[in-house]
Amino acid sequence: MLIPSELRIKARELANKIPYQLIKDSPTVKYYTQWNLFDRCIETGGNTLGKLPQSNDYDVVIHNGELIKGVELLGDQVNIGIDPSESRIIARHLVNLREVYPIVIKGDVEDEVKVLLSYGGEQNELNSNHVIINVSDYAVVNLALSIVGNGGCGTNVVEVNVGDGATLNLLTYSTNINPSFSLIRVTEGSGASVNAYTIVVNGEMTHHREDYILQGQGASINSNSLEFGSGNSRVDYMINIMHVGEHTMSNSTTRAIALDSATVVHRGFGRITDRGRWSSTSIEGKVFIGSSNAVGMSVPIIMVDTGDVNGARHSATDASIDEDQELYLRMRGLSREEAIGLVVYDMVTGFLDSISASFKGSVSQIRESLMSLIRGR
Amino acid sequence: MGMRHDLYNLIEDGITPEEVLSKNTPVRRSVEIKGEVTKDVVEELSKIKREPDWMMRLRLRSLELFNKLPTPNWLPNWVLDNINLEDYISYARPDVNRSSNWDEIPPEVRQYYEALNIPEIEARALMGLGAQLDSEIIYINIRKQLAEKGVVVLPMEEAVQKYPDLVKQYFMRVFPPEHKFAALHGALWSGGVFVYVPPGVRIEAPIEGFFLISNAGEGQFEHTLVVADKGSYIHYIEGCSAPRLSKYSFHDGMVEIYAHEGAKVKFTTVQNWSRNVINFNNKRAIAERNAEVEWVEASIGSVASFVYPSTILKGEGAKTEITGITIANGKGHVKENGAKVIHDAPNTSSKVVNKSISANGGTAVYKGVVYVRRGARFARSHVTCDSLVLDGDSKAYTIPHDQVFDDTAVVTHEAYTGRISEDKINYLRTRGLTEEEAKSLIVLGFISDVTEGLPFEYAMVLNRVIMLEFSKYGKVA
Repeated sequence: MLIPSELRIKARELANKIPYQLIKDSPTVKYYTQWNLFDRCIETGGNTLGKLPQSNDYDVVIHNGELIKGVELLGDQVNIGIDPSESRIIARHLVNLREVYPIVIKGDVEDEVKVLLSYGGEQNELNSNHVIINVSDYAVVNLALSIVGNGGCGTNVVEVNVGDGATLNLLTYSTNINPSFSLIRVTEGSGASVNAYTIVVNGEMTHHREDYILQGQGASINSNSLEFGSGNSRVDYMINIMHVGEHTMSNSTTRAIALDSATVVHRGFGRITDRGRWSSTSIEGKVFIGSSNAVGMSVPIIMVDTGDVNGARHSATDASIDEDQELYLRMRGLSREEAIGLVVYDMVTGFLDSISASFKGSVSQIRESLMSLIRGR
Repeated sequence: MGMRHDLYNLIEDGITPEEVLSKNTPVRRSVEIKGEVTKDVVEELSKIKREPDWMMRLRLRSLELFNKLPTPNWLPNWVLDNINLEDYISYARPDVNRSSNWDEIPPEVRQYYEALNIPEIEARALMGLGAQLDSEIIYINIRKQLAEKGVVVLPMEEAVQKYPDLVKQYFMRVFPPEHKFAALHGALWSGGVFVYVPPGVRIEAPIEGFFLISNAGEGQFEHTLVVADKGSYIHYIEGCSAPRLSKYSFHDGMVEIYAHEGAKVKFTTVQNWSRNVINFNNKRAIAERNAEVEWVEASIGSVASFVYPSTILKGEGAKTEITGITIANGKGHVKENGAKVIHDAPNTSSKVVNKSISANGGTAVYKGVVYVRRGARFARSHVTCDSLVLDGDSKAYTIPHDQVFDDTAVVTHEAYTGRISEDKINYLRTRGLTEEEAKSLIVLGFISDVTEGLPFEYAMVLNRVIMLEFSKYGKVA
């Protein structure tokens, strides 16, 4: 589906006018994403296909804005849910994009539906992918989404509409090299339920954002995420949950690991709007700082617009192993570095083991690449 | 007995402090400066105060920054629209000679303070008091034994004259003019109290600064500077009030605290401005090695308030505690009461506790930052925020930022927002309380962290004011 021309014109107008991010906070707080790194990225307009990724393992493959595999899953024309006025990066994404691919998943699908968004090119080339996935009412779907950057800058947007009473198990794996922006926006209908597992790994500047809009009454989201930053990576993971429907429920747990000279940011935002009465939200995050040059940051925000609330809570911790743990492990002959290695291994494997068995194929591949990353440090 | 009895009875009858003050006759002024804040205005203000050159230069530099710095985009537009400085009186000197004896204060001025029991509280519970009306301190007094120990408690202007070298070391160095309203304060500051506590001196009872705005359309820019030398202790209480005003007034004060090695400073604010005051207060402390700074910020009154008590833990082993209580009661009321802690040295620790209650369309906001710089080894920080939202039109926002650059630090944060538990109400009702009484009691219990640390006289009146706040403007829920 081609980008409507009026949307593209609006995006072009705004791409150089509006900021990447509006900061309406105290002067102490600046940007968590280094947006200036995106300034060096140059729009390609989807004209550079370059080296194609391996597509055997996937049902749908989109590379540098082109659909490589999965034509049979394409659905009818749909409305694009994002707007260029949201931010400069979204305006640039829409300028750079040629097509949006609507995918429909009907009925129950026991196996994983595997979707790959891949981009690659020269260091300063910006490539963009955009897919809209509709999960039919009352369907039960296991969707495995991979966002893979092979060099160059990338913007990837995935819009997911989960129908009334549907259940979506969503596994997202994102690994990047150069500056990348990913937005996954999930809108849920009445009684819909989403179980999300997210793994975000490395990148010079990875901005990974997930929006869950609990639109329908009784909708729920249960999200578990793992952020991993090593080398000089900077990973800014952000989850936004909006309770619009009544009696909605959200739960978000994030574990983050900052090693070497990496900076890892966890931002969680739960908002119960005045229409989302009798809802509850819980945002939890733990950032593990595994090196003297690593940096951890947490911003867990709750906003409650009504007194008719069942409860909103958040908690956050930024820490490494404490002195007692270190002493305990040292007494057993382990150095601090070895102890940190054990904690990291335990966090990663513990997270992977918690992922639903429906994704065992994808998890096995992810496990292999994460373990080789940890071993190779 | 009489005074306290009167005030207590009035509050018992459901009359708020702002209504108590509104019965008084307006105070005449001997000098008023109004209009655009220009270099001429700032120079005139400095001349009126017969300041040394360095202070006039500091004011002019601040004005320059005020003109350069952007308008904060983190304030609601309606607040910015109502801070139209050309319409405000930026300096108002009451036609009163300063004294250290209440009998020498003219009755029409004294009645403001008597209506709030201030002279009686001073006699019973304080070691010193500075009372400011509009732009000037009109009364200041400290106990003889403190003066003998070398404690200095002076109006800020007098300290600038008498102890220029001491003041110069700290004045707007703890809180430089880094944002527009801090810069405006630097250009227009007037009044406030300077306190110096010599090494090893412990002041067992609090010293208080009490600030009143008597007229609508007025700006108040008092500057409080507390310097606690090595191993000393002081508890300073700051109270603020105003009668009901016909239009907005603007408060842009500043508090700077410097706690030298081993010193402990407790700074309590009970902000009960009337509902026409926009309150902005810049508060920052520096804590040297093993020093402790404790902030208690009770934000009860005003229509909009933006206060973020901050501590820089500069010396090894320094500690801070920041307790905030916020009441946002009324449609459109926006109350931001946050906290900032910078861990700048090893083995520093911080604890932030923030509690808010929003009712009748009010919005309570906590914004906070905990920053641990690289090299601040073994820093420890814990932040807890609890919010009660009492009805469907009210809001509570919790926005913390934890930024940790050292791998030996442990920084934790937890928050909960909810409504009053039905179980608690039912429990109290089975013990004979009405639903409203039960809710009032729960609210008071919720904020007892603040009231517990205050002198008895103060805590009693404050409890009643808070109860009144909820009974007068509608049921608690």
